[in-house]
Amino acid sequence: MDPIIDLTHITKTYRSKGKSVLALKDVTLPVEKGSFTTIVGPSGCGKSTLLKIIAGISLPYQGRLNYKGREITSINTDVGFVTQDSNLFPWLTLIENVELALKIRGASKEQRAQTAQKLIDTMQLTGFETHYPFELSGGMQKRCSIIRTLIYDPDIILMDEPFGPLDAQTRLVLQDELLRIWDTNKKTILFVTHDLTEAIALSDKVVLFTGRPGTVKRIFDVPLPRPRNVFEIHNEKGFTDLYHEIWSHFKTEIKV
Amino acid sequence: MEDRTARSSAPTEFEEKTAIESRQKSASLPNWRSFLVLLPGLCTLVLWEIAAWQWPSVARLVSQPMEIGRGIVEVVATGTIWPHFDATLKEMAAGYVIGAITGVALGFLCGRIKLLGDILNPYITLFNGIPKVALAPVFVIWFGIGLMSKIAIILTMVFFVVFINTFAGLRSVNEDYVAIIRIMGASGWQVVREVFLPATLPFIIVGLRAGIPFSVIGAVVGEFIASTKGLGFFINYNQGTYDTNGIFVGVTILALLVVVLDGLLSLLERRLLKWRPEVEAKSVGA
Repeated sequence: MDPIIDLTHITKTYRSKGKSVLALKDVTLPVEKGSFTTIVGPSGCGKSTLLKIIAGISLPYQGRLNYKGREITSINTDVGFVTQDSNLFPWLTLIENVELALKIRGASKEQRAQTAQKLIDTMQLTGFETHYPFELSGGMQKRCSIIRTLIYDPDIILMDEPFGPLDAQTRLVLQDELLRIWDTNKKTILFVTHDLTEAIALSDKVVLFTGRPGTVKRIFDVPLPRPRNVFEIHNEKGFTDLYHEIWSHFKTEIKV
Repeated sequence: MEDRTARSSAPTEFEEKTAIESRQKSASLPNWRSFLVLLPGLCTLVLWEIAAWQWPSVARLVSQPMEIGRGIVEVVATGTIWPHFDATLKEMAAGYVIGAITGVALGFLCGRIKLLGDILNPYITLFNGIPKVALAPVFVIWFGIGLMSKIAIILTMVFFVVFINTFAGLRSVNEDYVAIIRIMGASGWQVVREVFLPATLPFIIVGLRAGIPFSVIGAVVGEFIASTKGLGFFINYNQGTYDTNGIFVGVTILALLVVVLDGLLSLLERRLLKWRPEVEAKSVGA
């Protein structure tokens, strides 16, 4: 299959406190259309920076970033970006947050409301449409931040440790819901996490990054069958072996 | 498989939600609490009144509540206060509106154009350090003893407090919001309308509320220095005739004016900022 994103020799330096810091070094990574790819690596290895580069909000970079045959030189409005914090706009109600992207893209009021309502229903947020973000739990905020990205139907969804701040149960529930959504509309997802179990449970491919400066250390295929049950993933045949294999490479990157 | 888990998570979220609702309810003051709020004020008025009956010198120095009340009714009934009230209100309205608009506009420019903000920031801090009332005599020389000099004083005072709050608001906008909406495809103007304006609104309102007492101070100081009418003139005139009660009548009317205007703005604030868990009125700079 053709890669939807083709990263070749991506290197990124940025200035911090007068010094230049090398965040990414020579990252080469093809991401196939419709695949679920997860990047794992130690903190500060530039995983998030890579997502920002693909979204066009961390420019410039060195190397080649081929996105559907074109170079990324400005904001990439074909992607959806789900940040670690929900980052819902606090002055908008739940449904207004979900509708926002369509409003910006000039959709009619009826179309906006209809599309938003459908997504709200699939995420079991029905009844909370007119609540403001501060009135919602962390899990509900996260669901809302996912569907406000889905609503404009981006080619690829970039997710930057989206479930990091959630408690363990809500996390599992949302992983399950994410897989369900991915199964039905087969978006390309590029997902960043430092949780190895989460990475294996969700993805087709796990990309292991080295510590800073981050680069691809190894790519692991996840042969577990789909649909997956994230609640019982550790009992899945092959999970433990894969976990230990990745972990044996991962732990050498963590400086204690 | 998706079924059971989604259900099991729902109740906890619901509980959280109702907890928030009950918190909101307890935040509004029940009757006995508003009574407690009024209590110190009422006690002060009663003690003041009794003291003034007991010792005539007290009444001479600080008048007494009943007399002040009677004085207010009198100046309102005879209409002698209206030209003064009218003059002060016009000065305040013109100075406040112009000061607020220029404050918000320049605050936006300096807050969003980083270079401009960096260049102007030290100067604004410097000018803000000057006690603006000290400039009042200069404004009288420039603009005469009429309406214009008072507008200039008020405008200067209101401008700084609104500007500084707007500027602080813009500098504190969460850059993630900007990135998110830009990725959604927002144009420069859409980013302003959908992020910068609503995100800065709480700060602007704090500045606007803080500007109200400043506009009263500006008007009164201007009228003290040189004027032929206005509530400040009214107070000053009564000082000339050693009429303590007259002074307190003027002061009380000014205080009531501030309370009413601040109440109106706080209503507006509650309407515009209903998306916030709690409304705190903090001001930066002055």
